[in-house]
Amino acid sequence: MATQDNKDTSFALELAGVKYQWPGKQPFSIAIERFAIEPGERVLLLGESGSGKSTLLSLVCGIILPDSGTISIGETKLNDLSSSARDRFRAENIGVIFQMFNLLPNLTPLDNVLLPLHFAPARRARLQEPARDAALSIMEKLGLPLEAMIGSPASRLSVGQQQRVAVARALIGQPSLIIADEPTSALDTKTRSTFMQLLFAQVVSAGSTLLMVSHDASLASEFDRAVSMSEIAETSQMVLA
Amino acid sequence: MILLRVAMRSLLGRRITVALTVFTIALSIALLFGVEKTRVGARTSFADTISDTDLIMGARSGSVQLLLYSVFRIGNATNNVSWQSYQEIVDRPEVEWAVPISLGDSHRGYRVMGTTAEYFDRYRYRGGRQLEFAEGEPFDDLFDAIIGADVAQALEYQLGDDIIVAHGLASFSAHDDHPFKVAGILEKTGTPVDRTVIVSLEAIEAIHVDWQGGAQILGQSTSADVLRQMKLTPKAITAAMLGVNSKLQIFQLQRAINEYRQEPLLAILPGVALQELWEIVGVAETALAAVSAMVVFTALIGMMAMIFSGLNERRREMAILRSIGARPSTVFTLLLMEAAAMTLAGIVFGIAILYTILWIVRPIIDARFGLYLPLEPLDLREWKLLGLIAITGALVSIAPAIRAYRLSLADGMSIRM
Ligand SMILES: Nc1ncnc2c1ncn2[C@@H]1O[C@H](COP(=O)(O)OP(=O)(O)O)[C@@H](O)[C@H]1O
Ligand SMILES: [Mg+2]
Repeated sequence: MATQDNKDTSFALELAGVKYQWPGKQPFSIAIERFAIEPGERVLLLGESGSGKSTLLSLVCGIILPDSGTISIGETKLNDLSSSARDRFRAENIGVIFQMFNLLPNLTPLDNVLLPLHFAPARRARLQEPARDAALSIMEKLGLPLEAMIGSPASRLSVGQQQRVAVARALIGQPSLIIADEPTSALDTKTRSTFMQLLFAQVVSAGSTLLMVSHDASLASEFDRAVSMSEIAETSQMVLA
Repeated sequence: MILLRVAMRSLLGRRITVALTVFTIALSIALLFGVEKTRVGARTSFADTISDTDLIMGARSGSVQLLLYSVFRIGNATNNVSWQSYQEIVDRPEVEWAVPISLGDSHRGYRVMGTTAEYFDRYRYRGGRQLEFAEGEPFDDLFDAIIGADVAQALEYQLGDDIIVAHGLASFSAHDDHPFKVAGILEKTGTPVDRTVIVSLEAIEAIHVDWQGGAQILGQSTSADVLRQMKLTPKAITAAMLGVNSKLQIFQLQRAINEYRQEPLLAILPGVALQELWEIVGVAETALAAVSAMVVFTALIGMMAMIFSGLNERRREMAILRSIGARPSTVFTLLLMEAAAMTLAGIVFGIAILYTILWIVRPIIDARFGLYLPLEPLDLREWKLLGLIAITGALVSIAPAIRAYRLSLADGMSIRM
């Protein structure tokens, strides 16, 4: 298990010599020589649509395994883990926020936030208070109306609210790494800046590392560092006859 | 368990499709079990119709045919047994008791049966039960008739009412010169006796005195009082129920009857003949059961199709579950749970429909077909069948679950729709 107090020698995230190719008719391949993030760093990864950002995040989350190279999170090498251990590791150590449709529409927002704890006993054990209270307090800090979080299905919420519930779900139990895949692209400008503020506040208070991908360069100023896909990755979209 | 909650919520989110699927499964199960209950009910009802009679004897024909017309009043005898032969058989040492019956006439669609008063003592049904009189008593006068419970109820007969017996079973010529009087009404038995008009053997003889070859001899009508004085020995009977002194003698007597020289006769053991009957109807029963089983299977396939068609919309859901740490096997389990829940709901709902329908149609089936369907709880066999259906439901849903598993592996976090 990765620990909160990473040693100086280890990065929060480190990719080295990673190569991956999607199977299929028009395989997309990506190669990353080296990419690392310091613990607690907030990094924005910029790239056009189709440049392989989501693919990179799938690799980081251990949902797909690189064909070669290593991916480490804290002191754990994802390559060394069995697929079920990787799933478990993800549950315990990584919070994920998607572009949209983050929530299981039929569950209440509260149940959505509690769901990852079911797969992550250690993360649940880290909570200072009962899981339900922890969930409600983080949702409250994110400015969500609590009545709407308990009674009705998540599909009733506005997109902006859904994204904030997704933040709560990613951050409950303070996982060391937060991954966000264009979380603001479905939001309008005003909601976007509120969302970013809230996300940052929560990431800071949790002491988590943040890796966010986006095609919106205007967000760069708010991050510790902005990297573009083309700097770190070589990609190609092969077209087979 | 939270996974169960996720499954339930997901089902609720698709409640219309789910409700229809569950309803289809429920109906198919109600059908299957309805057929099964009717089958068992019919068998029990048939088996309960005759008991404590060792042998049934009639003119030589098929044993099933003899059983059907003598006990169940289904079909007709092709030949009669002469009174003389009957007497000779009855006089044999093995015979403890004998009750002759004579069929052939009818009253407003109900069969009229001639027999002796001993019939009321000897006829037993449902494990040895005896006929009981709701009103009146066995016949005393030549023109007394005893009617079964259904006859009394359907035709609203009371003691003392007149009954005119028609010649033959579907004939317009009536024995209207000799009306019978209702002298007794039997309690309901759940057997063909309920739908029978019972008169004495002599009475059958008496109403045919003026008849010859299916028609009344012109201008001839013997008065009731003259008939009462006449010696009315029957010339023939249709069949007879026999009891032996010792069970060991059953086969001996049976052989004696079957080898009787003067006339071709047949003796059957009711239980054995019934078994033969089951072998014949067994094919139809199996076919019916197979068809209803196919209907259940079709409903389960329908559920599989429903799960399959929902998969694409739910890839997002599965990607979310994967992203928060669910294993592909969890996604697999989730789909199995949904299928199991639908099958289970179908079973519960189906059984509820079954018993509701049984409860409603029971009196109708009883009145129409004389088939008494008991409202009993499910027996072990039926529970096993339900278990089998539940397992099949789970098995059938493995295919879409495997597909979901594959999709969730291939999709990663980004779903390409
Ligand atoms: N699940 C998948 N299966 C096969 N190929 C995929 C899959 N997801 C993405 N790809 C390929 O990877 C390419 C990059 O996609 P993606 O990583 O989603 O880019 P981005 O997130 O930057 O828009 C796509 O053009 C597609 O060909
Ligand atoms: Mg993407």
